[in-house]
Amino acid sequence: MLALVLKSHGFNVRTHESAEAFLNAENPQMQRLLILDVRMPGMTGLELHTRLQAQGHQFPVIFMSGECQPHETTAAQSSASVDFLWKPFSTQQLLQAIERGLQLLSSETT
Amino acid sequence: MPIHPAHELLALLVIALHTVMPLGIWAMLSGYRDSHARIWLAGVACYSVGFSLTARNTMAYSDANVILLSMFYLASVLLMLEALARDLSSSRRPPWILVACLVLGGAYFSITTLEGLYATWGLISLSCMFLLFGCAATFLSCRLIQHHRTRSLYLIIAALVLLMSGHLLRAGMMVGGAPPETFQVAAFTWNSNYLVLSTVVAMILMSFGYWGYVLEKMRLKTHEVEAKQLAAEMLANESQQLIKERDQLMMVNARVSAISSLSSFSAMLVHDISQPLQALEFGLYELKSQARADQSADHLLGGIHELQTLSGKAAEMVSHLRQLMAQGQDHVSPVSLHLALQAILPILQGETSQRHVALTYLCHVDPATLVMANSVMLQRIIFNTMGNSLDALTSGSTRQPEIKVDVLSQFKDEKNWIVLQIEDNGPGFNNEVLSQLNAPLQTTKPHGMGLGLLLTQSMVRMWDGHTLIGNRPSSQGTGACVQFWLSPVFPDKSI
Repeated sequence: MLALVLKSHGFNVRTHESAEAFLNAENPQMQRLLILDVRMPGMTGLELHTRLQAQGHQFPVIFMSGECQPHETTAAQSSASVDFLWKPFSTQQLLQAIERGLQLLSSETT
Repeated sequence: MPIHPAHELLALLVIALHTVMPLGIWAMLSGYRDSHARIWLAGVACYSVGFSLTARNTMAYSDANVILLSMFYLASVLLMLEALARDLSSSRRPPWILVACLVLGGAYFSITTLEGLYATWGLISLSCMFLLFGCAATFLSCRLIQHHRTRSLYLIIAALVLLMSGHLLRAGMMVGGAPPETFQVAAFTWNSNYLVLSTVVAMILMSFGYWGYVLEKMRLKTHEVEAKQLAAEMLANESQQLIKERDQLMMVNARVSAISSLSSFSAMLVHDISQPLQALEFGLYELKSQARADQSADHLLGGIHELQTLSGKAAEMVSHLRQLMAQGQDHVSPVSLHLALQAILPILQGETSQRHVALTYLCHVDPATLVMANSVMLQRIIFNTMGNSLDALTSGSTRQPEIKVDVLSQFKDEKNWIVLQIEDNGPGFNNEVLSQLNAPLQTTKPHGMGLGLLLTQSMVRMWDGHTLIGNRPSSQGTGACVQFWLSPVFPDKSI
């Protein structure tokens, strides 16, 4: 549903079922904005972000979470380069965050 | 030679007195005669028989009579000393010593009598025997006074002194050359009269003295029993108080458990509602976009907007619930792990002993060491973990079930940790539970063990710690091993 909304706004959206699937399918050199769920099957969003950072990829990241455990969300909030969104959030909030993320991405590219 | 009536009367009076006195004391001590008292009264009875035979001997002398009276005297002093010695300490001499003394004494007095020496060496020997008895009995009585503080024993000591004085007089005078006839009952000499009177009065004093002593001893025993009863009642009251406190703690535990269950339920609720609400938000947003693009669907916009408003309200409620939960879980402060365990181990020990499970606790670090945690939740986690172990141990067929609780210091990831380790020798975790522990929170049964452990993991992570859940190495047999790695707090950081 998220992909559908974003596509309707003209974004090029690629979805993956897990962090492992993302790492296997994507070219890490390609610039992009990541929208990560904190909790995912297998590797968590936090762990994926940490791994990408360790590999030298500084992608803008928007974290989202439906959890209520402060320890996880605190870590995600502190490491999110763009925004952290509590589920359920409004689509406008997400679109605004994406806009900021894309600005960040473009400034990094230039 | 005819016997003077006065002599006969005196002898009969002595016999009557020495018959009535032991019987009277025996009767008066009815209900108070313990084994020691019975030995003493047997000694008194032997003495009375011996003295009666002595009185009879003055009327009709015979060697057999003399040998008998000597043996009764000997038996009496041995029995009375045994009774006093047993009162002093519970140790008792074997009966063969009494028998051997009687045989040896009987042989000595028999030889002395048959050799015609009773009137000289026989009487001196008897007096010496009573002197020795008097000294030993006085010594034992003095020791008894220190133990029992009974004034009646002074009466016995006075009787012994009186008895010794009479026999000292006879032995001294006879060794000095006084004729033995002057000490016969019928001689009516001053020394004879003193000897008779001193022995008779000594008999009376000893009888009454021992009677009073037994009564006072019983009274002291009654006081001791009452004191013990009082102590037992106090102990029972304390035990009841402890049981009450344990019940209260269990109630608190149950309440915390309920809160914990509610908390876990709320966590699931927040998580599970937020997902469909989010999908609803995206769906409505997309629908609204499509409706705007299509003019024929303008009439739908109002309904979609209303649905978005309702969805937004539901989202607000979820946010409030999340905030409330976060407020209730962040009371983290330096906690003494040792003290936290000490507070709940008595309760757990009661439970483990009831279920015949051995529980050992070892603190391998400084007991004052502090860790970052929420003390109530920490205790709750320990309760839960040990409760799981207890259930696993008592539901299976584990021989000699045991739970070991250890507090250790470890160094890992360039950091010092305080590790609370709880392990048992039960069947251990099955693979399904272990695999679930690393999976995201699922909407499974709310009271399952796996969920409790998941919440435990989350809680410990909130304290900057982590949990290792697994089984003991196969080399150590089966069993579960749960480790809580907690961050230590150094003194300058404590509050």
